Amino acid sequence: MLEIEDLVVRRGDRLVLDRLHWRVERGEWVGLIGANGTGKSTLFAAISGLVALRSGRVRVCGQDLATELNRARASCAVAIAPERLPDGLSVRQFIELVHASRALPTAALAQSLELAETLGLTPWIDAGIGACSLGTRQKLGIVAGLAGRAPLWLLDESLNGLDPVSAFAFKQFLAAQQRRGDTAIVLATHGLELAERLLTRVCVLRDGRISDDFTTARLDAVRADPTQSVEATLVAAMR
Amino acid sequence: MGSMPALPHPLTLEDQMLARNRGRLRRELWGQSLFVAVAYAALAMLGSLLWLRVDPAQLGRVSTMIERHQVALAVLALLAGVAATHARLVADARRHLASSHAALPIWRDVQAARDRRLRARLMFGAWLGFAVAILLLALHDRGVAWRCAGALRWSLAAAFLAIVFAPGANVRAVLALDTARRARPASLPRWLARMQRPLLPHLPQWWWQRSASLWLRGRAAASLAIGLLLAPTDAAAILVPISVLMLMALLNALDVAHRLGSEVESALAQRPPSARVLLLALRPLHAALSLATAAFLALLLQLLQAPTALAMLVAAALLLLSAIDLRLALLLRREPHRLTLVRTQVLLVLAATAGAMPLLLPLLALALLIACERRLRAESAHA
Repeated sequence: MLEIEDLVVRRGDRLVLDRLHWRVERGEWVGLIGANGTGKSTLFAAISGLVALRSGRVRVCGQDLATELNRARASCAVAIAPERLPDGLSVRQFIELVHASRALPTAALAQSLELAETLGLTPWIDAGIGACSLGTRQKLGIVAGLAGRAPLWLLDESLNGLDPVSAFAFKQFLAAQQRRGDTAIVLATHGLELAERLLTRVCVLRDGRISDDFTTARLDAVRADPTQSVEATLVAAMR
Repeated sequence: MGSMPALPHPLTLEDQMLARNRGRLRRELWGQSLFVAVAYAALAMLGSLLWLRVDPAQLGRVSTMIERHQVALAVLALLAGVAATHARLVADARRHLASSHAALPIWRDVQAARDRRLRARLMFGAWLGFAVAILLLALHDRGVAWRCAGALRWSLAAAFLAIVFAPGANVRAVLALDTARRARPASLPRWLARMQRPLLPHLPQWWWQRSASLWLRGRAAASLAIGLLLAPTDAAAILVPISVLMLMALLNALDVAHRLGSEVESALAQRPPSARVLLLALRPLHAALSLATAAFLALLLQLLQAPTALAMLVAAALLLLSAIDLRLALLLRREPHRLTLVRTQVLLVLAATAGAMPLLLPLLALALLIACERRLRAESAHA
């Protein structure tokens, strides 16, 4: 689903991603963890074609980003960051705009409105985005970003700002999606409690590389061991 | 990029939706819209009056120069057209990369349609500029206007050619440039960088990029009216522009305060900081800009031989209005009914204008501000 080879990204003099190799398969729900400033958002931007790659190759669903940027992007659903949403539109208008600009079928709009309902966004549907709270904007970014349900989902700290009820509903929604097996979900997060039960894999980003990879088997082993805690193990891996 | 059946460009759709929303808001806030229209119509009228004072002999000399240098002007128009078109398309590419649609696939046909639209708007702008220039000349002398139109038609044609054939934005190059730039520290002027506060270190940069230009643009519009003070002995020529100046400055204060309120909120992740933090971050630049503009206007008035008292009065009024700008931005930062407050204030301004008390407007605005502040304090104490 997602293949990254030898990826190098520099921002000015700073080497953010350094010969990074990574693969994510269909049916996985991967948690990408790392300290602040380790390059999680840059990695997402690189996968979406939003930063220039110094070298390396990114393939999404077999489409090379360098030669088939649009086809690769069409295979990604990227949750929109709250600060990028246009203040002058209403929540409903923005959802309609996203669907119209991608010519998505009516069923997709119904699906988005259903997700909006799940996340508790419906009461704000006719409110102006500029008047919405951070959490509400986060919800809208999720609903709009996932419109059309592309096979690879990229969620950059999308649980931030959500109220506990909405966060719980969204986690259940992601878990159900993962169980269906036709999607790969990558969630950059600082919420290690997700790894206790829900995530099927956790990757640690450090010094511009995937420094540790907790596969389902490794996670299950830690979960099954009463003397170990998943959170403590992951924190140790991040240090 | 690949090709795909015709889809609308997300930014084009977004622009259309935003324009519809703005239109609806203008209809809802009809009082404010009317005020803006009247103020700008008055400014245009005063500008025309100033234009009519220009010596016709000078215009004749300018038209002769234009006729003599037709080829050079056409070449200049060609170069300017290429530069403007390329800059516009690159700016649009940057806007797209910073927008909520950045990660969406944009197929070649869709981007081409967007570029055509932008080029058409640039062509319309060039034509409009040409038409307005000829119209202004015709206000003086139709013969001169026709001669200039004939001489400038090649420049217009060259600009059109440049707009149509100028190279578009190379998105990959823009991306590479922006990726390299992002790590660099903000490139502020040194005097502005000194105003950085640890509380909100990014704010001066934000100010520099967004608000300062807005603020100065508004102030520049207001200062246009100063031009009419060329004849200080003429009472009407002083009172009318001063009234317009006050109106424009106050309108600008309200507009900027309103925009600042919402933009500061947006820039600070929808969670406005305390008034103290905002004040510490905003005050230095605000004070510097206000003082510089007031000093500039006072100097300009002195150069135009206006009485010293008048120059001091204008400078003081501008400083007062700037203080109101800042106070409003702070006061209204959490106020959900900001628009209502602004509308009320504008209606009061309209009432004051009808009463021919333009010089009292800043005081009136200040009084209203104090009343609003008291009400808000009472409400928050109650809450």
